[in-house]
Amino acid sequence: MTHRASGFASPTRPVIVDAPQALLDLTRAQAPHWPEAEGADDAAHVTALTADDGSVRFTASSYAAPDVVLPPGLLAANGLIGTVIGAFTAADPDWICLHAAAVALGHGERRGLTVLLGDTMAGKSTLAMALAAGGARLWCDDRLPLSRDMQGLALGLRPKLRLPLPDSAPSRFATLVEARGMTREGSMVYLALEEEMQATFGEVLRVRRLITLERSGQAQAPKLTPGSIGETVKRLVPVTFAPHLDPMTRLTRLRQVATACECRHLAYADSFEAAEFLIREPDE
Amino acid sequence: MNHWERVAGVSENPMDDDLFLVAPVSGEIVHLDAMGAAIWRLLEQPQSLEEIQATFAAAFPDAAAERLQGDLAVALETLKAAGLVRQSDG
Repeated sequence: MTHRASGFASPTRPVIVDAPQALLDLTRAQAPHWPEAEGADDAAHVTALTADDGSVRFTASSYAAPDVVLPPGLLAANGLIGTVIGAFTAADPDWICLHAAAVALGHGERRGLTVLLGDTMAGKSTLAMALAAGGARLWCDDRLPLSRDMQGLALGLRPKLRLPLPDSAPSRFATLVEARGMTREGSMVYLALEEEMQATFGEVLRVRRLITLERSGQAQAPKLTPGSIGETVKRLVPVTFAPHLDPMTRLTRLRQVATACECRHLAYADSFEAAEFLIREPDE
Repeated sequence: MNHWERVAGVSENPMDDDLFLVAPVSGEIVHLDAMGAAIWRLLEQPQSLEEIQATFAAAFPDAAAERLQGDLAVALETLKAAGLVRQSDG
C-alpha cells in the first residue's frame, strides 16, 4: 500500500499526513476545498497505521489520538479528518473544537453563528441541513473549530445525512438531497452543496448563540427558551475537544464561551418545523 | 464510625446555580445536580451516613424517608465512582 505525505493548511500550524494514497484521495473528496500546505518546522504530524485488512488507526504528534480502529472507506476518511482537526487544534491553546452543528443566521450586526448542541441522536445534522435548505448558510454539521475570540472556522466538509429521511421531510428537501447526494456509504449520504448554501474552508464568523437541543418523540411545536450558563456548559463539556487544556482551564474557557453568547434551549419534535421556526425568528 | 469525606485535590468551579468539579486523578469534569451539590457542600466536614440522612430529612420533611435515603445512596455512590468523595473509618 503506497503511502505519501500530504499537507493540510490550518489556522494554527500545517498538518502533514502520512497515509495511503487511496485514503488521502477519499479524504480530499470529503474536504474538497481544504488547501494543501507545505511542510514547516512546526508542522504537526498525523500517521495512518494500516493493517492487512485495510483497517486503519491514526497517531498524531500534537495529542494522544484515541486508539480506534476504523474500517477502510469513508469511515476511515472521516477519522483522518477528525485526527487532522485534532492535531491543529491541540497545537494552540487559543483553539478548541466543538462536536456540534452550526449555521449562519441573522442580518447586519445580528448576523452570527448559531451553534446546535445535542446528543448523537438529537438531530443536529438534519436540523442544520433543514436550516441550510431554508436559507441559512451551513457552517458545519458536526465539527466546529472555535478560536479564543469566538470565531467559528468553516472547514467546508461535505455534510452528511442518515437515510431514509424522516417522513416529515418536505418534498423539496428530499429533492435537494437527491440532487446533491455525492457519495453513499451504508445509510449515510454525503452532500455537495454550492457556496451559497455552505461556507467554504477558512471562512470565519463570530458565534452569537448556543442552542441546546431537546428532541421529543411526542408532537410539539418548537419552543425556544432562555438557557442558563451552567446548563449550557454542562452540554458543552462532553462535546469539547481540547486535550491540550487542563480541565480547569477547559471549564473556564467553556464558561467564557457560554457567557459570550446568547444561551437558548430548543424543545422540538420535527427538525423541519424547528428550522422554519428558527429561520422565521432568527433573533429570538 | 464510617464517614463520608471529600477526596483531596478536587477543584471546584461554581457557575450561578450549577457546580462543576474536577476529579484529581482522572481529570474528569463532573456536573453536580442539586442533590449532588448539596451533599458536596455538606461534606466540607466529614459526615457519617446517618448525619447526612438526618440533615436531608430535616431539609425535606415532606419527602418519604425511604425514597430520600435511596436517592442519597445513589448520589453518594455516583460521587464516589467519579473519584470525588470516599468513605473512611473514624
